[in-house]
Amino acid sequence: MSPTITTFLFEAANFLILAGMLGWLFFNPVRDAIAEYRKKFETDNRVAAESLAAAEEMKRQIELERTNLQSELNEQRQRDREDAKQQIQQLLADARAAADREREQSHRLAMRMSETQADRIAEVAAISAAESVGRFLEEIGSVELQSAFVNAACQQLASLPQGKLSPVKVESSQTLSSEQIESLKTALGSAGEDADFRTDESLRVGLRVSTA
Amino acid sequence: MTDQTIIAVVAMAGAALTMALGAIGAAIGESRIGAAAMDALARQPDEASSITRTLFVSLAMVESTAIFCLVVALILLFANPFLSVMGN
Amino acid sequence: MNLRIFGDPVIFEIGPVPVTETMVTSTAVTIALVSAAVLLRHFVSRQPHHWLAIVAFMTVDSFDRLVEEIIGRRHAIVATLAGSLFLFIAACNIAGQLPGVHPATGSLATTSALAAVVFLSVPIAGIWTHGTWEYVKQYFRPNPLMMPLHVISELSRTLALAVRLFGNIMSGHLVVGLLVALAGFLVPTPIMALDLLIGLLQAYIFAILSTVYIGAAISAEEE
Repeated sequence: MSPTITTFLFEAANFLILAGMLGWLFFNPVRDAIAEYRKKFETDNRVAAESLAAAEEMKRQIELERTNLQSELNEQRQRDREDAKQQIQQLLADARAAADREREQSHRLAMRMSETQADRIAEVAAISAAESVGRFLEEIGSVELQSAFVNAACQQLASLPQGKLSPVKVESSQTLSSEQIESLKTALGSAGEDADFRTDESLRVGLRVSTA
Repeated sequence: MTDQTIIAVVAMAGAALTMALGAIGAAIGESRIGAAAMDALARQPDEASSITRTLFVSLAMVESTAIFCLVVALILLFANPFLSVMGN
Repeated sequence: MNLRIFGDPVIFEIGPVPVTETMVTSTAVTIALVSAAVLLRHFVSRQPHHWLAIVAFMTVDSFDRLVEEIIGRRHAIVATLAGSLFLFIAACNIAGQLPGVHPATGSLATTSALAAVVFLSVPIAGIWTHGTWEYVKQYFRPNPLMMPLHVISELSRTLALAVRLFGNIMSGHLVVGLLVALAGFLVPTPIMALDLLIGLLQAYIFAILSTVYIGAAISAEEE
């Protein structure tokens, strides 16, 4: 047998055996494994897509729920805020009214207090003044004092502008003498004609000249 | 000059001529393939992988004509059937 | 200078059958490939996330996709044939780079055997797909005068397939041998790198061309 022919036949058989072995041992199992993997990947993909869809749905629901809750919460908060505002205003008004009342009361109290105090002080002052003046007058004596008062009044009246004094009213503690009335009339001038002279016991000393 | 010598001389000349002419043809063909591949690459750079693969395959196929010439030249030089026939 | 171009030394004989060096080399390559396949398959079935399993997946899937691109649909048998062709030729070419090993594909007998396998696969695939009568009728398409041309084209492309692979590998090996004889150590290294590239490229081309030829027989009716 020629070596070339032998080699040719051997190589052909060798290659066919190799192809068969590779196909049997390598290509087909690996191809099956690849197909299996591909199928597994597809299944995984489908499962993943389904879970993704479910998750999306869940997320959407949660979102919706959250929005609802949010709006509810907002409403609640709004309502609470308004209530609180009203309460605050109520409280404020109450407090203001109370404060006003309190102030009014204290004002009144203070007024009363000051009035009574002023009255008492005035009374005390007047009494003490009257007492002191009375004592003083008793010391001086009354007739001279009467004429001295009349003189002083005359001087004062003379300094006033004439013609605008009527009606004039002269009150004195003791009855004035005619000279004294005369001198007062002169001092009063034209107004002295219809002047009204009277005695007033409430004035303890001196005289009061009321003009217009 | 014996027949043997004449055949040997003619075989050598034939081998040289075969190699020369075959190389010319293969060279021209390969240059055209290269130019066309450059052109295609410049036009479509995205298809670079496919163009390169086709380029190599075409180059190898054209190259194979030069290889045929080489084989023929080698046959003429080293395995010349007429030399052995005449030798016998 | 020991330049081997067409010769194939007989190492020993088993009875009347001579065993050549090419036969020994290709048997070794076959055993190595089958062992690698068994190893990869073990990883695929036991540890699918190991990188060797990923390599197996990528290999098989790339051949499947190559066949799908050329034929137009997935075809497991053609993909297996093309993958085996590529792996065997590439393994032989790479083994030829080992010192002292003459590549099995550098022998015309081996490449002729591979080309003959492809040549015989074409009518088998056609008859398998379309039936005998339909397949034979294709030779008489567009008209009966084309029949000899079809036959010659099939024969010549088979011859081209065989001689292309043989010429490339043998010439690469020859050039390296010449350079080693003339220039010596380390000078042929670039040429050897080029040989590696050419070896893989030729394996790829052989696989693609056989796929194209078989695919044409399979999908001829569909055009």
